[in-house]
Amino acid sequence: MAVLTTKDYRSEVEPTWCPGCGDFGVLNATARALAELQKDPAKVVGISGIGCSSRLPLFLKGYNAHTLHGRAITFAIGVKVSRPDLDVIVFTGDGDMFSIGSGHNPHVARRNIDLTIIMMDNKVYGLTKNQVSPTSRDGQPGSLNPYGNIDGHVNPIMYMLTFGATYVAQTYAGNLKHMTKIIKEAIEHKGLSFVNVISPCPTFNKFDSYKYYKDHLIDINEDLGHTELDNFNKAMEMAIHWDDNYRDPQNTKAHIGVYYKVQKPTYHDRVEEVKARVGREESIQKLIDVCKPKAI
Amino acid sequence: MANEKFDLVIKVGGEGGEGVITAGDFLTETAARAGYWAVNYKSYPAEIKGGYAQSTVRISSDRVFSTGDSFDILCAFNGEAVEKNMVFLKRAKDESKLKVLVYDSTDYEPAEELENVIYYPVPLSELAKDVMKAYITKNIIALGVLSELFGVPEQSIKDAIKAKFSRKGEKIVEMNYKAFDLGRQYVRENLQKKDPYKFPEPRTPEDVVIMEGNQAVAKGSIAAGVEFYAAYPITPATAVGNHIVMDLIKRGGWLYQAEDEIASLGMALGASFAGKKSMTATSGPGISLMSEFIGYAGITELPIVIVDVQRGGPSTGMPTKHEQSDLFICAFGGHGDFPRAILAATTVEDNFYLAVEAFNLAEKYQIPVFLMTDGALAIRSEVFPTPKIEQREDGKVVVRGHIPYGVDEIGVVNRWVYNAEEDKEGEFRSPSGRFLRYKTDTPTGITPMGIPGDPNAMHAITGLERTENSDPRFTPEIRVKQMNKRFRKLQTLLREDADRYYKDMRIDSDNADVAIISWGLTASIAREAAQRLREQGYTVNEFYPRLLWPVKAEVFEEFASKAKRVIIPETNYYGQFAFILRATTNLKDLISYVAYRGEAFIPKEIEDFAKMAIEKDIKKGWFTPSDVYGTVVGAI
Repeated sequence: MAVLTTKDYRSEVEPTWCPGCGDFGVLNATARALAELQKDPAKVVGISGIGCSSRLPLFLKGYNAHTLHGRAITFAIGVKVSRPDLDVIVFTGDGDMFSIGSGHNPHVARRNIDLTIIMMDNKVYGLTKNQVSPTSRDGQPGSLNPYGNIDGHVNPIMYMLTFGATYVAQTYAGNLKHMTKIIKEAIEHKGLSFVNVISPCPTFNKFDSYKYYKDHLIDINEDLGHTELDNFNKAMEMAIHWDDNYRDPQNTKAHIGVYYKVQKPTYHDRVEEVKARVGREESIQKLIDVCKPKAI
Repeated sequence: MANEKFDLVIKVGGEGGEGVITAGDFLTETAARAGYWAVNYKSYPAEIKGGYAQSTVRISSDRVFSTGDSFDILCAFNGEAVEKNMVFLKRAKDESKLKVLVYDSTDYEPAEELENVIYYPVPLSELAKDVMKAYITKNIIALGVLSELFGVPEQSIKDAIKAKFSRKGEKIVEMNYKAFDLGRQYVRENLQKKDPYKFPEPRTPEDVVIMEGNQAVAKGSIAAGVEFYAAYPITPATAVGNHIVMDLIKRGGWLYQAEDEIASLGMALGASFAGKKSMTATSGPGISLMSEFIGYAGITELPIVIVDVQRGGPSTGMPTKHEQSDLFICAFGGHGDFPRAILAATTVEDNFYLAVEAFNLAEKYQIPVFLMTDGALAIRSEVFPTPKIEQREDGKVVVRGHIPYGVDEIGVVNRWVYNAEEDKEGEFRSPSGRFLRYKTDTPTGITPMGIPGDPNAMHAITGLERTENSDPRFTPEIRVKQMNKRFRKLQTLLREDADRYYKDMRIDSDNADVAIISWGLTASIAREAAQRLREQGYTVNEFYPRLLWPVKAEVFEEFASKAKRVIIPETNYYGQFAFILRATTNLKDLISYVAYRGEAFIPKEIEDFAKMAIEKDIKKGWFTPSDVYGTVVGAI
């Protein structure tokens, strides 16, 4: 097979995002990561929910499904569990994954299903034109709370660590190189990978701007010496520090880097064990005949 | 002797955990082993442990499909079982047949002797505790009593006992044989037979299976080649999963327990997109939750089978009770317009074959297909002829057997998968080479699916309206073409497949006194009512469609034109199927006859109402059994 380049992973559909949207960067990084891994586009399945970020799979070549709000993970599980030969990537956003779809997060993670979840975190509902999301900062105004956000926030990194994800990282849509490296690693990781991408929304989120992140980013692996990646306690500690940025955004930094990476048996590994133990039955008739009165 | 007509209903009632349900299962299996047919309606207590349980077994020489109006013999394991059935015992004086009460005299002493009731006191608890020193043998002692009193074939019942207990060792089998013989001996030594009920001689057993309703759905789905099942526990549908899980693994598939019903359908659709035959089973509340994904399946054209084991609604309603009130949500649930099909089973046997058919329709038309069954069918067991599965060398599978709605065989259908080799002309490719998943101009509306892994059929799916190559687009022209494409599939279904589900029709006369249209479990009861009416000299036309949606109007219109009145009995408030028929056909004068008390009709209620309708010349309207009897009558 000829060498594939980034354009072999892009569909003919042009993105409809606003100029400057961080999601363009995620699309480019994904295509680059897939090209660097030389993945067969016909065996990569992108799955999303609803929201600005969830349009992303429509711009990829391959098999893609733009599903329902909050339900991308459920659809992805169906694809991966029935077809473990496929690479399955979930593209989602902070509202899609941590508001309407949050009920699915613990269960995909605790089972360590071999999926890659890329969450584009712009800390706002963009498609419905500016409402606060579960990752919005205190005081952020939205159309339903013009007085400023009073809701508190979730820390997606901490949640996914606690739920049992085996690869948890954060990256930034303005850093193509870092993003590509992280997405590549996440796809390669066997087990549930969660990548939170800080993805600025220049239209509705004035605070989390490229300007802000230009001098507020820190690489937890390179700059903070977080290198013991299979240590859960240290990963949690680092995740707690990511919360500092919510409390004091001016005087603290926003993290990029890998929090946690550990190899554990995937759901599929355990399924294969069960299948081997149970064995196969070629005859459907035999499975029906067990309902006959037993011969004495 | 062996050919004499035989039809007997035995009800066993008592405390859950006393082996009441097992005793009913033994009687059912005994009937099968002795060459007779049986229908066993079980009623579990709603409590996890304890509470009243009962099993009503109808054993007959010809096949019957309901458990009849009432029991002939009640075997009461305690006083509560007698009290619960007192209303039926009291009715015996107005009926032509005697009723028999076999009761545990350790626990109960009748206050009065009811007219037309024969009493057989047996100290079941005492015998189990004091003689057998094992209370758990109480139900086996009772079987011995029934065997001696009514001639339930000894060898067949002993074989059933052996088949059940042989896994636990010879000693356990011997203990149960001893308990069985004890029951027989007690009767011989203490009781005088005073009733006319007597089992005939055993016949040569037929090649039969015994299945419960949910089990039949599971086995039928396996025959259809299901590969992925997403489950979320819900009464009364859970057991479909219980019955399918190990079979599915043995066939290379997998059952995944989801975190909720929304997830179940999402997962099942994901597997379908990935190329697998896929299903989920739930009850009303689950269907409500799944509604958004049902629409998604409709617009993205993903094949999916959704089994709805109905229960009493709305909301949490009556989880363990029978009702047929989900027809509206299955036909209309979800926002927007999209094609779908609904099949409904009238018996356990139907459940098996219609599960195969549901997959066939889903795979052929790439639509959501509902298989509707209900809580009473779910736990009812039936003896029916063994389905025969032919697995051909080329992978083709054909299902044969006694298919109750009158077709000879069911060939298992697989979806149309795109094959670039066969598309030399590029019919399903755009000029630039993109795969046209949703090409609009095929005559059937059906287009080939692309399955992940095939480099020639890459595409996206979306819940948005889309172009032929699935780019989101909302122009009026594209919208209309895509809607027409999707609904053309239903027209094709009505043309090519509907008739096979309309064969269970009987026309006695071109101007019959009454015509009955019924669906689901109620159909199996209406069938018996119709036969009784016929025996009383009325002309009766009958129609039990298995396909409830879409509706082929002309079939119903022609059927209705041949009778003076059409009664549609169903167990929901609105008369949901009658409502749909009034909307989709030119039939306006239909008689809805409904019950919504959480129990199935009994044949007599339909029989009596039909006679009332004939007598009073009723042609349309909405009626309940209260209009016949003046009070709410419990059937079971």
